Amino acid sequence: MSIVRLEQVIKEYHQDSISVQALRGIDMTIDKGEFMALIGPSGSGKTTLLNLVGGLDIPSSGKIWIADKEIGKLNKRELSMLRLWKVGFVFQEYNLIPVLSALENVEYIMLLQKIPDQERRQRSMAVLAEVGLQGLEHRRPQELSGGQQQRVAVARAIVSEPAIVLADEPTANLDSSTGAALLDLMRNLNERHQITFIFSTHDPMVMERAKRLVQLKDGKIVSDNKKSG
Amino acid sequence: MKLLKLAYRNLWRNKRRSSIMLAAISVGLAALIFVWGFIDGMNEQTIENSTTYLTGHIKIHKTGFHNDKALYLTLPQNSVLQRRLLKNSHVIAVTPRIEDQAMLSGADEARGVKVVGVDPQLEPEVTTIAKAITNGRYLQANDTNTIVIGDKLAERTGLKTGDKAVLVTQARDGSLAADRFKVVGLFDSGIDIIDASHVFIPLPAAQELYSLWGQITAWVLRIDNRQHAGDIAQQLKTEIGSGFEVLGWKQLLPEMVQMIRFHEIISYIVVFIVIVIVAVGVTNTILMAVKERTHEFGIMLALGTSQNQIIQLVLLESFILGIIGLLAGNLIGLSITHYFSSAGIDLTQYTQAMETMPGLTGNVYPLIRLDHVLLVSIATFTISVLPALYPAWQVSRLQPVEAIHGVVKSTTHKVWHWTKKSASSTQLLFWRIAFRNIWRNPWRSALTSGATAFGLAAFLFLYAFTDGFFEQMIDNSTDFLTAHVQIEPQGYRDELSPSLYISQPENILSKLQQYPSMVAAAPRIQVESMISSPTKTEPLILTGVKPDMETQVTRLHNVIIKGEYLKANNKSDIVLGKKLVEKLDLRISEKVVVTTQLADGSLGSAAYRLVGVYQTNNEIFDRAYGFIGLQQAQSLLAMPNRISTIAIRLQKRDLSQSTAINLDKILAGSQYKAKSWQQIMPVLVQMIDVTRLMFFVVLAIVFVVVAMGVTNTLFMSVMERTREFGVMLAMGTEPRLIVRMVVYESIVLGLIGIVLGIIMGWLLVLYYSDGMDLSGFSGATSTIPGLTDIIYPVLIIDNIWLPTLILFITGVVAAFYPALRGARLSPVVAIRHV
Repeated sequence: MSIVRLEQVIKEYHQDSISVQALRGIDMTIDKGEFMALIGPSGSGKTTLLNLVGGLDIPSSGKIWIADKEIGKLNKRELSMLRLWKVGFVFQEYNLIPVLSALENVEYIMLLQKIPDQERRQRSMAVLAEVGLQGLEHRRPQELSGGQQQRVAVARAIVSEPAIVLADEPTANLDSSTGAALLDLMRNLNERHQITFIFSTHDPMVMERAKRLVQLKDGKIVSDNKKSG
Repeated sequence: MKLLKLAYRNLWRNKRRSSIMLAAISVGLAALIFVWGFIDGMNEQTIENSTTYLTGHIKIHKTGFHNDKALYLTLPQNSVLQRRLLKNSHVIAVTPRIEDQAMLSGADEARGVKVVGVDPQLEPEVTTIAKAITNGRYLQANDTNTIVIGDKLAERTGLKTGDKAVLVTQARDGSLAADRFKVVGLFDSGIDIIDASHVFIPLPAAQELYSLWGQITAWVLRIDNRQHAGDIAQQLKTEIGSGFEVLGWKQLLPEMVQMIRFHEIISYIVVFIVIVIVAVGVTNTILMAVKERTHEFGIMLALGTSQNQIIQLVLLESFILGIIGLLAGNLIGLSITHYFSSAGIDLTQYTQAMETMPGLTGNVYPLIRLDHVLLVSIATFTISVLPALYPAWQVSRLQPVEAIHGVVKSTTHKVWHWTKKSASSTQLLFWRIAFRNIWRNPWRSALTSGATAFGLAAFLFLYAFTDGFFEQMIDNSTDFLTAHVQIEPQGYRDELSPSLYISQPENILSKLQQYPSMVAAAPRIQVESMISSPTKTEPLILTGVKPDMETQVTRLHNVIIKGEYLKANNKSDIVLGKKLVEKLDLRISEKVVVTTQLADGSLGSAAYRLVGVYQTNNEIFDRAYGFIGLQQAQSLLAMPNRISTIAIRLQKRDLSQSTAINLDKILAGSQYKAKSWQQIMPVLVQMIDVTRLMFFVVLAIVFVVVAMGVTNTLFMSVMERTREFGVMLAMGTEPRLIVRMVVYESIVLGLIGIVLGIIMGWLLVLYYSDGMDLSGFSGATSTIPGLTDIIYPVLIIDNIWLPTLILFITGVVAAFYPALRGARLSPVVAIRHV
């Protein structure tokens, strides 16, 4: 069952009368429960593709469906709602809201979703426990290590059970053992809860663990390999 | 040189930030230039008008005349001295004068006036009253018994051009002298004190009236530069030898000099307040601009730029901004001031109040004073460069790696956990985020709230100060003199004439008894008159009162400093103010003669014995009024059983206006009117209005600067958090929630500022609740009706809640621009923002 579908997607950027084609016709389908990595050199279009798949941006031409909604037809508010309910994000720089505690960061999205107090609290605590942060719920980001902050980011991304979680270089700021542990955690979540993860990465550790590798070059898919098992 | 280029390009690169800073500097500077120009203009106008219309720049009397004004202290009118004076190269013109008091009787009215006997040909070379003639003509060389009077005096006495008027006075030998004069012209100088109380007659006629043949009281001089009057007076003194006193306008008009000094002090305070607020705004902006570039400086440090070079770069940038801001601020400020300096600022709505201040008219022409412009320019430039030093120094000490990552560990503060509970709604969450964001950068928040707080506190204090001022004026005026409401014949207030009277006061008094909010009522007679001691004559507002009733209504009897107040059954006693007693050189139980015009136009006079002296500490009250028994007044004026007014004391002063309206209904059908103190003293009400107006100008400037500070702070804080907003947007936060969050921050900042401001202002007021002693400027304050030297500031909630609320709203509205900018960010771009 496909959760994201792209049809002849082209993305152009215009800057000072120069137009750059970041994506030159992408066709791709992503199914529920995939653990997939976008790879390729800098400037190959990974991030642009990730932004489109996450509903942060809309294509210049072509069509994208996320959870059966075509994003080109959505207005800003609807896009915002789509991201709120269907997409989770993990960034290279963690990007937690610095003035909120770990727990509040995780609760943030459910607050926007207006989920009742008690349920929100229970789910947040459970997810934080699941990512191994039991007892650290009330710390602010600056009181946590990089690995811990990224775990909070992961917890935040998955807590409202989105259709897809996008992770842009999630391990780039972590040392290798912390990075490995985080990836194992995500793989684990993927297998247990059937959450779809899409990475953009240069990290061999991510590539090792990915079940599908899509390689981009100059805005085009040059290879798309699904690993068995 | 390279650094200069870099600094210049840096400023160009971030046009928005640079323009915010420029705006902060230049608007602040422009405001300062204008405010000061306004006050300088007012002062200059006061001096210019007072000296050119009437006083002249320098006067020469016989030694002792300035203090005594006795007619035996005169100078011979010969041309020897005149020629000697003109030999001095600074002296442009010289004219002889006789100046003294008299009573002017018109067709139906009499008024005490200052008589100025002038040489019709020489006088216009020194003063300009001839140019202010609005009706008829000025005096001419061959005139004999002609007179020109002010338009206000004409109104009050009922005189018109062509009418005959009588001047009654005490001549040099002490005898009563009188002469008839034909009114040939009316003048309107726009200055109350001149238009209402000065008359001009030809010098020979004055010499005849005062029995001063061949004599004058003063030579009046115009010089080339008014500023040097003091020095030139000194020169002349040595040139003309002994026996003369040579006085510059500062000595001639000490009250005006003190009033100007008072204005100057107020203007220093206002300028200081504005400078502080501008300083905070600019500091704030620069601090943030430098902080925001931590990453950039980190890269420069990493590339091998030295710490000194970074500091130099930052200083250079603020130097360039300072210079541009200086030019822009001067350009704006000077243009506005210059425009109004010729167009004038129309305050004619408050003409009456303005004209009571000597030398002021309804139009104010701001004046550009280069020394003041220079001073505020230097101050603004300094505050726009200096604040950059601290953040520049801080940044230069960063480790490059830290700086590149934008973490400034040295400023990390303790994290407070206010609450372990999670937010229970989105509303609450955003409030919480707002609160914590404010705490995240305590310095910045403190500066912003501080600016608001300081502005408000200063404003509140100034307001409390003037409210205290006015409360005192009103209290004293109503308590000592006017009472809360007076019932009087229609038109009486403008003429104070014995021909307007209440014939059966008992009827009205008995009706009043039933009026619930009334405490007491007292009948009075009030007329203009002249009072003479053996040596002097002065104008007097003679008031006849029933002592037992009057003491229920006013409390002048509480401020008797010598002798005693009038007794109920006195025969011919009079109570006078301290100033008047000094002028008349009187002692208790000495005799005085009061002369006044009766209803039929004839003169009446009677002798009284001084039994008491009162002191209210107000110049006008202590100088202009005298009190005798009601019966004595009735017999002097030949109006038995008649009175002029009924003065009423109410339970509360606030009830005055409503009571006057109600009483008017009761009096409907009669020719009597009830007047509240506001109607009795319209000038006081206008003075309050005009001061309020000035305050709104100051307030508007405070608003602009505070709004700018808040916008700047939030703008910087939004830019600083671009990535954070990007993430929030990416996660599905709606833009309107971002707007709300930023606005919440401004609400919190504003509230903190306002609470602090109110506390600070209130403490200041409390500190001065025992009164601020202004006796240093005594001449200035005590000449204002109802005012003494000690001011008690009062905070009147009714008067301050609105400005406070507007200040708060200004801050919140100012937050919308940065808030919208935050909300309009593209998440894709914002997330990558470093």
